Amino acid sequence: MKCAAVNQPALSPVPGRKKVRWKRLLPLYLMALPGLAYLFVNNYMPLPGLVLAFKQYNVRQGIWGSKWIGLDNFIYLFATQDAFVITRNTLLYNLAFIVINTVLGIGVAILLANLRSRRMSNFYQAVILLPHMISIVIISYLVFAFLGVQSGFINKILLEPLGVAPISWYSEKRYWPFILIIVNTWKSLGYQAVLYLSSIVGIDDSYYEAAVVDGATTWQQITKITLPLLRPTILLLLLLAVGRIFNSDFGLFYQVPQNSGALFPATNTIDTYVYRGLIELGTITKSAAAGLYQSVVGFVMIMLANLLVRKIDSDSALF
Amino acid sequence: MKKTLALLLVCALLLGCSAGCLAETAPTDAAQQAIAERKASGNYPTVTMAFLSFTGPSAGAERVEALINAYTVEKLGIQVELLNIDIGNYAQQLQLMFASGENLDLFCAIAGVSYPTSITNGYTYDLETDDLLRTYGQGIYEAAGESSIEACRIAGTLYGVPQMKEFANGIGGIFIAREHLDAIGYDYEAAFAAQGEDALMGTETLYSDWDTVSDIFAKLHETYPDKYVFGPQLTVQHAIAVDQLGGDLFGVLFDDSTELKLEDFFSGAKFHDYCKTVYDWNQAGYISPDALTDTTDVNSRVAAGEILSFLSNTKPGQSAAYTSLGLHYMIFQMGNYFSASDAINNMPWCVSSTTQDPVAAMQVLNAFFSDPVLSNLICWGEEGVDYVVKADGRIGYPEGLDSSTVDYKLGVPWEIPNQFIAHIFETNPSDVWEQYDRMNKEAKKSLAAGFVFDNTAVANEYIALTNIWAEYKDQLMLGFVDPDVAIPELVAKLESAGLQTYIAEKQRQLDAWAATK
Repeated sequence: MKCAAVNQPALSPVPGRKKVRWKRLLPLYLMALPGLAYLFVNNYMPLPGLVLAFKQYNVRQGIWGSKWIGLDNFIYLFATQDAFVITRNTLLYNLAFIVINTVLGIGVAILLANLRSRRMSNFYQAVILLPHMISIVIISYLVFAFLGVQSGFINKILLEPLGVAPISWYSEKRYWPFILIIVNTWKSLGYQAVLYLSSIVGIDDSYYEAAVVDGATTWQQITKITLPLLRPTILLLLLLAVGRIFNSDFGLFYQVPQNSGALFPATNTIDTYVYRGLIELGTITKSAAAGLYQSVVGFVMIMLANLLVRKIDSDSALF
Repeated sequence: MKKTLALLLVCALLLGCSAGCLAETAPTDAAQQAIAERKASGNYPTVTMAFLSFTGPSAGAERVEALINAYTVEKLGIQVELLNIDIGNYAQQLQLMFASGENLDLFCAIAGVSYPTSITNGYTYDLETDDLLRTYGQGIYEAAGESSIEACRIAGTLYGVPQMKEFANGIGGIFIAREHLDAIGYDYEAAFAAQGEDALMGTETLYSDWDTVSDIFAKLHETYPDKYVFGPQLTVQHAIAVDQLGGDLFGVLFDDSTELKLEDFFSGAKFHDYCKTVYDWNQAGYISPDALTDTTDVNSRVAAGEILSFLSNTKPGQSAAYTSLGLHYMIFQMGNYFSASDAINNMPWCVSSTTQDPVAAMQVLNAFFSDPVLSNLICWGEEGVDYVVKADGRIGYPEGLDSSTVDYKLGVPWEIPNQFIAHIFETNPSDVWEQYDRMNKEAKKSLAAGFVFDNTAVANEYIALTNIWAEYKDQLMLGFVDPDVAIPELVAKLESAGLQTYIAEKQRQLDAWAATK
């Protein structure tokens, strides 16, 4: 929706006819109302709960009556030797995901857009979108079907006939950066591609027709027309991804490695660390602290990225 | 005709039973008065009671709840709402209920809402407020006994009462089927005879050692080359008689500790020796190479014929529980019976601090402790539908039903306030509760029995230590790494994450606790 709007004539404000404009926009606001209400209830109403991150919570005293303890709840995120590992893992994996998903997402979207047969395009879209719909727990078992020591596909069908000794995948941490990136790409590529494709479809055909008349090759059409017109979408999605750079996909990092301890140096992220540490402690204040920390850093990152974008190309900035 | 007779008999039995219990636990005047007042007003409060199970409520749960309700309304003038929550959601759902002030009156302090957590978070109600427990919980005192209840007293305040269950466990039980022992020619009958009939659980347990079991494993491995001999255990205290004070391994006592001086578990010989044994077994090919990632429970793996033996802690009747798999298991037990410091107070029943009617809550709890009708309903469901009483007084599933098809199944009778007054299921020996009693009495008691550790002050260390232990735990406990290499690594990491700080705080609280004794 957002992307398609780029190429539509803007609703131009006409001076002195504000009332008419308001009337024209009213249905749009009404349509947005349920979504806004949901956003308010789900994302804004719980905000006061953030004070929990600074409290020593006790039910009997209630959220507001509990004792203030300053930043004590945050210490565990920084004070330990694991703090560096989990922060590094979270950041580097997210960077890798952002780069790979963006490049491959755009690539696949362009390929899909250039398919002549509508039907095949729809078929491919459905097929690559499918992993996005599968629960991460099921994915973890699909991965296990490949990596199982005894009867996994790779050990049994590929390595055994070649005479290579079976690899104990779940205790060898060096393979996991690649495994996680491959799984994540497989899972999220379809969704990314569909987002970009919807923008490409919205590009006016007359650009391409003119280019063909002028003798542009397909490659030139991609680099001179598609990519420049995709830029707002790319930047928007990048900015959103940067905002979540301190959050990791819990399922991917917890379920897919089957919670195998030997892999922690390569798979432990902020979210899995907090989960493992707090599962038996039952203190919501510390998880509130972790969530707040991730959000604040994400907010700072998004502001910085937006500032950068505004410097380079002010039209594409979020605000 | 026969049916009617049986029904009459059952009714007579039930009536006799409840009458007997009423006589035994004559409610105090105040309790009677509260009931009479409720009935006169016709206004029946609802008491919500939360506990966890492995599967959540079964299909027949609503039907059984209605029966319980009809009974409690008539007896107490109170409606009971049962909240059977599956283990994965228990902590979160209860935390949400507390935070949002939803109606909750009774809960079992277990898993993520452990007793210490519940107390520090203010989930619990002081049971001696206005003499609540003495006035309305007479049946609880009679069932559980003064000293067990006192084991739940934390820093002078009583926040919970222990349910009736085993207060000790046999440590390091290795379960092997007689059929498989026959196949390798091991004469267990002779071993049982040599041991004598007097031994506790003497018909199912041989008190043995690791070397004997290693020899048996070697033969099993030879005889069954296509199966895995052993399914190891991730729970440390099932294998080693260690007292995890406060529920963690960072600073512990053992069954043979002679003073209240905490030891480091990880650099000790017991941990090393166990890891070494399992490592040797793994090297010998007794353990599945997929064990690290296989979270299938032991029952399913035994049932699937994937593993021949497994390790667990033990209690009376436990080996018989596996007969439904078609094999007759017996136990080679490595350690003694041990009662850890939290054996009694590790999952007590508490009254919620958010309760609107503590008197009603206490009366319901009291009824579940003292009334066999209620205990039977919640543990086993409706007679004739969910279970039938067999000739010897024990119960079993009705004709044509089994554990997977029966309509009501609780699965956690040990969590319910008093399973001892309910029927005995046919897989248990008829004297199972007497055996429990004997085990509870004979077991070695921890020196710190009743001590509860509050780790709030060292929570940051706890999180770091837990993460490090999680990194090594599976590999060591399942024998995938050489303990001579991995344990020093683990210990070095724990030390730099503040292990000594954590132990020091635990020792400080332990000393303070000991001083009040």
